Amino acid sequence: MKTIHKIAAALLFGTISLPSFALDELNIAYFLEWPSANQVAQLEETFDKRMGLKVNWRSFDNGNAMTAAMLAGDIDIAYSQGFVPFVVGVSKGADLKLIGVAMTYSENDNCVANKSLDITQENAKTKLVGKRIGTPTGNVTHYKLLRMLDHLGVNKDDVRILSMSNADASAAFVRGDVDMGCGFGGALNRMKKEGSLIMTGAEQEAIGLKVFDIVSVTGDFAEKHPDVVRQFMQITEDANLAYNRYPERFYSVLSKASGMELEDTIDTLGKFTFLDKSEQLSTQWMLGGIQKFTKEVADFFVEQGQLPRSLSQEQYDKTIDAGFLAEVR
Amino acid sequence: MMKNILRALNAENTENQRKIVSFGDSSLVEAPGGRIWTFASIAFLLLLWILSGTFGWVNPLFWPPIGDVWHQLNVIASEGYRNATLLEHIGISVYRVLMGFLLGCMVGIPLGFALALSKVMNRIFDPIVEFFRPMPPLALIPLVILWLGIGESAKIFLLFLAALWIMALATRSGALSTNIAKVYAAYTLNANKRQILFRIILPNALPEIFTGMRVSMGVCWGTVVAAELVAAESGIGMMIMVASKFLSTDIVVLGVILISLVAYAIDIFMRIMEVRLIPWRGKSS
Repeated sequence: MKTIHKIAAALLFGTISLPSFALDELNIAYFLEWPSANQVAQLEETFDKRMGLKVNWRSFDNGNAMTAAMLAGDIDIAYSQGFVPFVVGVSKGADLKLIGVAMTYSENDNCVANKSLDITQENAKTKLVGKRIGTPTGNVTHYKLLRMLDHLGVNKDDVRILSMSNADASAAFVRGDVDMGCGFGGALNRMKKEGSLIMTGAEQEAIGLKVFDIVSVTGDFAEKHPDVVRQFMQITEDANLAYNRYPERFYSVLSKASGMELEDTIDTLGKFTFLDKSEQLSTQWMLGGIQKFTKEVADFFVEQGQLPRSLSQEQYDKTIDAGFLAEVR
Repeated sequence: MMKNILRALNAENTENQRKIVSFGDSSLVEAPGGRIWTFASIAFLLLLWILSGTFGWVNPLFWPPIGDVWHQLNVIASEGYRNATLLEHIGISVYRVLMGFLLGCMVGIPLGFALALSKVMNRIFDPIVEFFRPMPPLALIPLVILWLGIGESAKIFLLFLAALWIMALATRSGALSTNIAKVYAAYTLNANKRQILFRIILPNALPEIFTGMRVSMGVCWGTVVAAELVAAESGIGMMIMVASKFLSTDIVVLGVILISLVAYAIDIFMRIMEVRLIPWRGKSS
């Protein structure tokens, strides 16, 4: 019934905003098979206790769906939304705000090529022509793939890019239906067992590819419930600090929270970096770096014909708000 | 041609009207204005769409102005979308739907007759049909990728599953609706089993089989969008899925409209075939 009201409101007024009301439930989006330090707090219901709210954690399998759910008003805070879906969303005029960096993970998102093809960075230019590549679209993986092809001198029209979900890409790669599979998390681990990387995460970072997930909220929610957003950031910061000090203490809890085997959890966590407040509030990240990178990613997608147009640097600057993080103790 | 289409469109109405008349309210038969109301409702929706775009009543992220969709149609029709022209996208989707549908009919119709006419067959296949029937083909996508990969066969298999159970059940119910008196009458006239099947039961079942075909065609169009999500390289469904990842609502809406138009055209074609092939529809009992 609530949904019907929202749709009616959206159709009538072109916006989702309902009259301001006291918040009694908080809906947070997150990824399965994507362990994060604050999931300890998720499992122990720290959020519920400290905020005095009922917190619902809803799992997603791609960041674009998170954007859609936030626009529909069903998600208030997205934790670990991909950076690229955020860029796509705000470029299309979605009212989203980036309020923090969830984790960085250049080694945990990559493309794997079939071993028998023997593709290296040097011969990719000729060997990749006409090959089938399975990848999710409109996300970090897609962006990394396009940037990598660009870097290796491969024209994206010379390869056949098949759009599929993360899990499907790994299934198709393992079956040998695609010559290269791109993905993240558990799917990437499965693919790595069968194939080889063309570029390592570190090498991709060297050509200017930042890979990170973000914390995002709708502009509307940030305006109406700043206290809730601030508390969320505080609890997350506390969890990050605790984890960074003694990561091994949290492995078993996080394995349960993320729905992964203990071994895979440790492996995945090993490739994540959880930045604390002082690291995030630097010119490399929230105070300039991300702003510039947002424009870069959007422009690249426009150049590749994936987005019709990008916004100006000033407009992108407005979508990034370090204010909540700055108030964290 | 046009006459045929109108006849097909009216075929159901006249049938309904006759029934209504027998209940005595003849004023309902001649609805004032008739077809005008159809055009009026379409025109009203279009007008609402144009106005909402012009005055910005709706956020274009939720529903794009009609101009944007028209613009996308022109762009995609002239430049194509993702390495294939618009006609190729439509063509491959139609091909998948028709293949899945035809295979579904080829297996489903004989299966339906078997279920209706043979006790043994019924015992064998009934649990299988009843077990798989409620399962949405989309839930099988991950399995289908593992079994059949990501080529055409996987997509056609999903559509085949979508059509199969509907056809089997429609055929069974059609065959079972045959008036037993007719069968006895035929037997007294010394008909053999083959003649009973082809001259008595099949004609009686055909109207329901046709209804099943139209229903399964609709379900197939719904499924193709999701089936093309599996490693899509082309097809209208893929167009919709990829566009949605970039929040390109205008392309999504365009794809939906194209699918509706093609599906509607096919449905009209089937209604024409129905009028031509089973003129006895609704007249026997």
